[in-house]
Amino acid sequence: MAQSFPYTYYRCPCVDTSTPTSAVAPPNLPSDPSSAPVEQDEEEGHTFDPLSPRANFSLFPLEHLLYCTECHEIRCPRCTMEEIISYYCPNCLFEAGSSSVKEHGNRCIRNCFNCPTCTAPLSVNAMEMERSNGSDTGSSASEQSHQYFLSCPYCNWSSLEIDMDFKSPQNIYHQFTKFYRSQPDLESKPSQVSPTEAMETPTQATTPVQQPPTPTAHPTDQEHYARLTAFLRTQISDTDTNSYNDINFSSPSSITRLMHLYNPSSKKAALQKPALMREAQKQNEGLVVQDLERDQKRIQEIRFRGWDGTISLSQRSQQQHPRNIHFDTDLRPVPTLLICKRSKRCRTCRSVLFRPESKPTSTRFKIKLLALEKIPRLSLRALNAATVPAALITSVPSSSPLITAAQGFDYNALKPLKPTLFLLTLSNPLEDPVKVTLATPGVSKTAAGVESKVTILCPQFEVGANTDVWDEALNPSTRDKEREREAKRRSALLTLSSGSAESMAEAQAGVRQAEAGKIWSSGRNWTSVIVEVVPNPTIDPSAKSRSSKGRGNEDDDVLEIPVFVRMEYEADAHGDGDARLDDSTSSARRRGEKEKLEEAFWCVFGVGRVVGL
Amino acid sequence: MSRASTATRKATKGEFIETDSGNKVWRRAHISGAPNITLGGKTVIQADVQLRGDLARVQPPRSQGDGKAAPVNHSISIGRCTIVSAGSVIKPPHRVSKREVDGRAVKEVHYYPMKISDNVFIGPNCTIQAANIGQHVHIGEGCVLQALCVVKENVKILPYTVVPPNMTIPSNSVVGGRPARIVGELGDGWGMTTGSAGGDNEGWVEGGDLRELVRAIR
Ligand SMILES: [Zn+2]
Ligand SMILES: [Zn+2]
Ligand SMILES: [Zn+2]
Ligand SMILES: [Zn+2]
Repeated sequence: MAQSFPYTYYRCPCVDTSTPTSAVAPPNLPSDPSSAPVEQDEEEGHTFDPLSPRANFSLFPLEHLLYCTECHEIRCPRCTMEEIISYYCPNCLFEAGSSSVKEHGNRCIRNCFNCPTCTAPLSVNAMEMERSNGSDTGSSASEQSHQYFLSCPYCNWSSLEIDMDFKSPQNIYHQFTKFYRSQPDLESKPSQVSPTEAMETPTQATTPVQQPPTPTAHPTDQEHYARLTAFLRTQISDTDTNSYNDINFSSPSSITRLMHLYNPSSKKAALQKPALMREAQKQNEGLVVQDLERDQKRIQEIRFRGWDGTISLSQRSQQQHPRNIHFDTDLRPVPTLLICKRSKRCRTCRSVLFRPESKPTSTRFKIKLLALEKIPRLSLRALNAATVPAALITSVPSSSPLITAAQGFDYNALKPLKPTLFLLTLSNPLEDPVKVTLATPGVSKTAAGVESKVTILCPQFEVGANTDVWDEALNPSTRDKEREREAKRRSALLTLSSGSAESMAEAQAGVRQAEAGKIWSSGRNWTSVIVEVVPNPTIDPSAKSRSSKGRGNEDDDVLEIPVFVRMEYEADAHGDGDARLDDSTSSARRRGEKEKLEEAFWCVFGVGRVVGL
Repeated sequence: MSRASTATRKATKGEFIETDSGNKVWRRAHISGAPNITLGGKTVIQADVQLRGDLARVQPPRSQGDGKAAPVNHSISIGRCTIVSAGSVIKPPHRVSKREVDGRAVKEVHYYPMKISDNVFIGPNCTIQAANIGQHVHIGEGCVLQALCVVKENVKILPYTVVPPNMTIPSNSVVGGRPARIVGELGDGWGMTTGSAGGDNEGWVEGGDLRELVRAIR
């Protein structure tokens, strides 16, 4: 999904546990994330490279991350386990029981179908001749014997194209499956003498218990499946001397029994050689023989019908039974696939991190441990850009200074050699003030090899606690003062940057002198600092060779800045951070009133695109 | 709830008019059938937006079936803190039906009421004909929501998506494409901000509470 600039991704540390480097280094104890990983990262000079191919799998937007309060770590989709709570249809929003899911293969068994050509949901329509309002199910109550059909309101495909119609607007799925079963495979015409009869090998003495009655040369998928299961069932019961099918894997005796299979030295295993199961050899056993004649016909038909008559790969894969489907006339409506609600657990400690309510229409949840409640939110934006989204700004030819200032900045065109100032804002979700240290590798590269110098003017600062929401709101005077001060700064900066190159550099220096080591602005639970980015056209040769391997990547010019965030805070020992009391290392601190806690992680800012010189 | 028609009462200088309930309606918005439109308050209707309140149901339906239609004359209702960006067209959904009049088949167009909930962001240049849009829905630029589709709460619609008629988009999904299909899932923290924020902080996120953003639009 394309993200608009600037964006912030957070790195889940779970990737580290599987990297070879961490296998060499002493493993980070999951119970003590506070000190060990941080120091290691810094001591080893092990900085996070957002360009590494592995990085893609560990970066997530903040709202996609959970936080395990037992392990005190970020949890991403990779380090959580999911459990299905309920299945439901995305179209009619009815919950499907698990037995129905088992039986019907997670399809909606009501009236929901998707268009086989374009995937839009199909609607049930009555035939035109009758008097009706030609609408959804049940809305027509005319007494005449209606004919109904499915049609696509988006691409105008209709089930009449494949001669499929329905007697009633209710229970379409049921009628559909009946239709499907009654319709023999299009190719199996009676005139066609099966060439495969001759190939049949004489059977062994096995007599299948349940055989589907009439084996045709081209069975439907259901028939095929039924035959094959029946055959395999007899095979299992016939050859089953050791009865491996009722093995309980949790019992040690069965495991030893299984291990005998693989242990040639075992006498017992050598003695008991199980009778081998054979493959299906007849058509009524589920064997499907390649039909060359039919294939020939198909090929001729392709020639005859041309491109328009054939279907695309995605259309084919969307079909419920994609075997032998090649032409648009073979397409059937697709019963809507169900979706499900899932709960999420921490993979390390198995505690539940997220559990939604099972009702399909409910968006509420029982448990939700979000990372954004524990991890500060970092955001980056150009100093002279407004908080209003670009979409709104371009549409508003307003005289407001806020908006006109923002119109000047284009994240898709960062100019080389021109220092651009960004505002990095960190907002604190915790109820304690935090001390933050930011670190960045200093030089960030785009995939195309353009290096950019990145300087955080004030890498160490404090952020206030997220205490009383109303404090700030009820105290407008301080707020206004702050705004005023900031507006002054901003306008000063704007006038400076419009000057000549030299004066601008001077101005930048002046700004830097004024601001180095100082925060730009702050509020109740947030603090903003300036980040200076200077894209440098020096091309790193190694990066260039790397990018040339994967030629033509449109994101080669995207500048992403990795920033290491480390925060320290003191929490009440019995308050927010009490879960760490069982940690032996902090047992000494337990007696004290406050507990020193630490959190550290990497995040990546997508700043924008660097344009050429 | 205040009628959009009352908006004109309190005129302030500038490009938009702010009503008593805090709605910001651009002077350059095209609003027809204003008595049929309700705005929930703190809602933004930007320039060149078309609100087609005139496309209301004229008479109660003669045919059976749509018995539980909303009261007549409320063709568009928009909730609180909802933003309709410039160039978008909000048009009540319609359905064409055929009816026999004097032995001849006659086509009739029925308009149905439309409801857009609170904290919905509608990007610029969209065409909205949905029957219902739930809370905290973010609709990107240039989307088309065709007649009678239903968007449940907490949904993100990617830019330039065409949602086909009658489609239901379930909660917590990301949809995109032409026609729209579910392409992803929203994060569990969709629409959550880190406390309230002011000053330089954004104070709002996609799918979140849009109050701050509405305030920032000046
Ligand atoms: Zn992870
Ligand atoms: Zn369904
Ligand atoms: Zn279609
Ligand atoms: Zn855990």
